[in-house]
Amino acid sequence: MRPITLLEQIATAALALVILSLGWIMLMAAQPTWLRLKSVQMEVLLVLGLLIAALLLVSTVALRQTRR
Amino acid sequence: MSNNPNSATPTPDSHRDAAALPLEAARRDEADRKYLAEHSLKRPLRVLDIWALGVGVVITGEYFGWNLALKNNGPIAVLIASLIVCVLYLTWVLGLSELSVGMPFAGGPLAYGRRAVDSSLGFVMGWSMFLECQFATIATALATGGYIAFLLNPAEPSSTVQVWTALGTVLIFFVLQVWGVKEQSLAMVIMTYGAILGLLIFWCLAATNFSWDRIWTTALLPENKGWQAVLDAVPYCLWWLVIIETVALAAEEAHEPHRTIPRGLVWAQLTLIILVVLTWLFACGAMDDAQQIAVDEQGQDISYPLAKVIGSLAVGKNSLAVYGFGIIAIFGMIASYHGMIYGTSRQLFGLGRAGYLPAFLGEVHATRRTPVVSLLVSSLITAGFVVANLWFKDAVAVAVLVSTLTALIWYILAMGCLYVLRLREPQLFKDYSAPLYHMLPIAVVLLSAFAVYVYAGIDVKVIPLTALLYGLGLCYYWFWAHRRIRSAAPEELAARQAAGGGPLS
Repeated sequence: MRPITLLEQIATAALALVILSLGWIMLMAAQPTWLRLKSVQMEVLLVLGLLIAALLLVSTVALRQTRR
Repeated sequence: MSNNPNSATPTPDSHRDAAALPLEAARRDEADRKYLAEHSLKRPLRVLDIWALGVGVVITGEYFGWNLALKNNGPIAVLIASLIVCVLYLTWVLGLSELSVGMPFAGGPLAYGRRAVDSSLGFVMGWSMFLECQFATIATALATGGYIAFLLNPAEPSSTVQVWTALGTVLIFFVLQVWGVKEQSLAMVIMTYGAILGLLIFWCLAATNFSWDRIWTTALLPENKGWQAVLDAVPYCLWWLVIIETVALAAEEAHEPHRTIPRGLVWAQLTLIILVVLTWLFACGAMDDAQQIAVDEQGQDISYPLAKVIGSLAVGKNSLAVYGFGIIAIFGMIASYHGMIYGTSRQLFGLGRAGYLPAFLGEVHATRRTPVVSLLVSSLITAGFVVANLWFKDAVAVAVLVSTLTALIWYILAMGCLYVLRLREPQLFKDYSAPLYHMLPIAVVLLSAFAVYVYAGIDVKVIPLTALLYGLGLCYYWFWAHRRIRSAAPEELAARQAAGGGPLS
């Protein structure tokens, strides 16, 4: 197995956070009063930022891999 | 005489057996080689062909299906659901590349399940992909007819015209696919460019009425549903990207699959993610109420959302804009139909060739080497469902949801196979191994499981229908096919060789 680069480690962490955020979304779907952020806008921005970061990181890692 | 049962002392019988065994093995090898030669496919596909197949087969998702996610959910929930789906598919194509390079067979999932566990899992995975592709083909044929019917009469599209044009599509692409794999690949590249051009025209026209306020609304998520809106949108958003796995079936027809498949698939996936975001942005930003893209005034689901957006714009009053876009949009629909019928027929071919489904499905044309019987059968099934649409109005929504649900089932199983095979046969993946080694299959499994979970909350009840289709397939396998599996099929030979049971090379 080849060594894992720093970029891959960051991408792995981003993917793990995306999966955690899905669990959070499932909890939020029940509309609880706890685990909420300051506003829905902040929640949406955070989830969108996480998803976009994961997409960019995984895409970069995937493209580097295909050049080998 | 020795009492040792492992004694090397020869007897007349053992001499005869020792001489007969290599002869028997050689005869079996010769028969296997003959069977493989008679049932083999050409290998003309390169990176551009794989990219075009990947984009072309999926691009219909930009033209219809995803819009149903807007029903009561709003644009931001659909964006979040779409990006979740994009992450799922980006990780999925990487894992799939590793599997398809390791096992470049037209049977695809059949080969993965057979090699990792046994023929039962191979059948379940192959059957899942067949259902996925078949229902996607049905939905796309109907939507193609829907777009053409809208073009002919934008005020009141006729369901009869929809059915007849859908049947025409089925016939034309049956002939093209039978003609030859290189010829149909060239057609796919041309149609894919046409489909992207159609989206470019759509974005330009929609931009004339674009407003950020329609997207970043005061209540970002519907007040009565909150984050539940994201969950409700996911099953329809899967349609943006579902069926890209058809490319894995092309590995048997790809030149140097360890290079062409990962490169073509990754570039196709990234192209599609850009198309998804831009199409969502301009469609939602151009309409006063995003709900109008999902359902019409009578409450019926819309299968021609982009044409509907253009038709409602000021620029859309110009018939040249509506007809110009509509004609090019048909490229998108037929490009995907073309790729989907490729996937359906190759899966039927793979299952038939290996004996999991009737053997006649595994026959190829004597000179063109195309799987003519499986193409005919999958086209006839599509035509039957297209005609049934005259009486069953939810056909498109049901077909979309059955296709995506069966897809998710085999994504999860395929990642299980990847784990097993990486542990048991690491040399299988020496030509290509996906990045994010451990996290990648875990991410695909968890994201797919999340998507399966949200099916429980949708209106159209497709779970009983899907269970029935699996039941029918499994009954056929258990009561008939599992005793008739062809030992000479490439998926079967590869699995036997891996287990040390066959010398053919």
